[in-house]
Amino acid sequence: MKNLVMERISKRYGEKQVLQELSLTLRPGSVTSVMGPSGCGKTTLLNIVAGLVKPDSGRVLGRPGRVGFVFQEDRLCMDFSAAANIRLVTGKTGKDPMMYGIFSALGLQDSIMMPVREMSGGMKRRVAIARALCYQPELLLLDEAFKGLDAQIRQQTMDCVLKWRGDCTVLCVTHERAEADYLGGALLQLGRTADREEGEQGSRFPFPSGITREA
Amino acid sequence: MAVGIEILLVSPLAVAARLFALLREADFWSTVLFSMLRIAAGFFLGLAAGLLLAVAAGRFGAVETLLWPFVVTIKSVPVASFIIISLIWLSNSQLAVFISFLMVFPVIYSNVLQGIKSTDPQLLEMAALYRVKWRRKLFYIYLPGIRSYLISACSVALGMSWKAGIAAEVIGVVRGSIGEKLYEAKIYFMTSDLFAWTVVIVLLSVLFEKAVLFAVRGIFGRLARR
Repeated sequence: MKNLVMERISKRYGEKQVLQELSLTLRPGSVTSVMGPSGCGKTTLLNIVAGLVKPDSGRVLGRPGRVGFVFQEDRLCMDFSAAANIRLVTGKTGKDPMMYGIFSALGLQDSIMMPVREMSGGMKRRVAIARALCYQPELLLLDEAFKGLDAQIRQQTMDCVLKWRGDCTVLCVTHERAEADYLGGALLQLGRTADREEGEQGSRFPFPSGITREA
Repeated sequence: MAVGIEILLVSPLAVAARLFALLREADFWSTVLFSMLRIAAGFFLGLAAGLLLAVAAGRFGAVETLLWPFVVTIKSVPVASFIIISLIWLSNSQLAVFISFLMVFPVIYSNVLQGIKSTDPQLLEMAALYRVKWRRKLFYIYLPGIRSYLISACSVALGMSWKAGIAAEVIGVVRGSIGEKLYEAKIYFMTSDLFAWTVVIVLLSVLFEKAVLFAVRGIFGRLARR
């Protein structure tokens, strides 16, 4: 696999410059967390990396063919079961051992056939994460993927992502420093005076208990 | 002289009596079956064509552009004009099928196409990112999206297919049809027959609508349980 390279990316929405001359290189299999205040361009960065949004200038090189994306919204087919939502992206029919493994790791093993419409917000979030993992992406983009999960479930979900991501590259947007630290890898801070603060190596340490979600 | 005969209005009792008498007549059920089969055939043809062409138009903009003048024409030309033209082109027995089809097709096509266009763009973006094949996208994303559009379109089209189908039979005086019975009732001032057959048409239309909507809802329910 090649490096994923973002070269001098700039993006403006109307009068607001959200990204300016951002350059970043992600090594294959690396984990990178992106932090920064609201509106600083974190989601825009993921959308540009995924190819959903075109930058005003700059380019993305080495974008892999299989990109998994956990959007801020769940973007699930509400009328169908969790298994059907996975089938939509994988195309696999019948019993898929990987899907069952991921659902078990997420604590959803008893809800595989449950219609998504009947699930709680936290369950839907985990199904969206399961969908991205079952797709076996080469690049996994997580946009506040763990938001809305309680501390215990959040840790379980992050463990699942780390276990089942295989050797795919992960780019994760989060507001929680503790999440970035738990996932490990590099930390990119957006929205400071400098455009990026790359290479700060987060260490893996146990997730602090009783951590509360940001509003 | 038509003294003592109820011509302008008939009492509900007289209509009920005539209706029960009709039920015992030998050709009642064959007349009902004749009209029902043709109107139902027209409805299902219109449903199938409307669905398929709406899906095609949703996928290929050129199909929508090509169909637009036809759909607008069908919608705006009076049904009586179509009936008279069809009397020249088609045999009497096919008349109700064609007219029923013409009434149903634009309603189903326009509504389903609208449903396809109203599909959640975020779901479509997700499907594009995950490179979901078009057939799966149709089944998992578009079909649930068009459900309410299709049900309301069917509800409207079912009533229209009966009204237009029977009107075609009356104008064409189609032998052995309900329309012919209505025509005869008018010619011979048999107002109780007219009302009795109208009751039959309303009942058939309601029953047909209930059955079709039950089936459509059932199909969508089965899809969701997969």
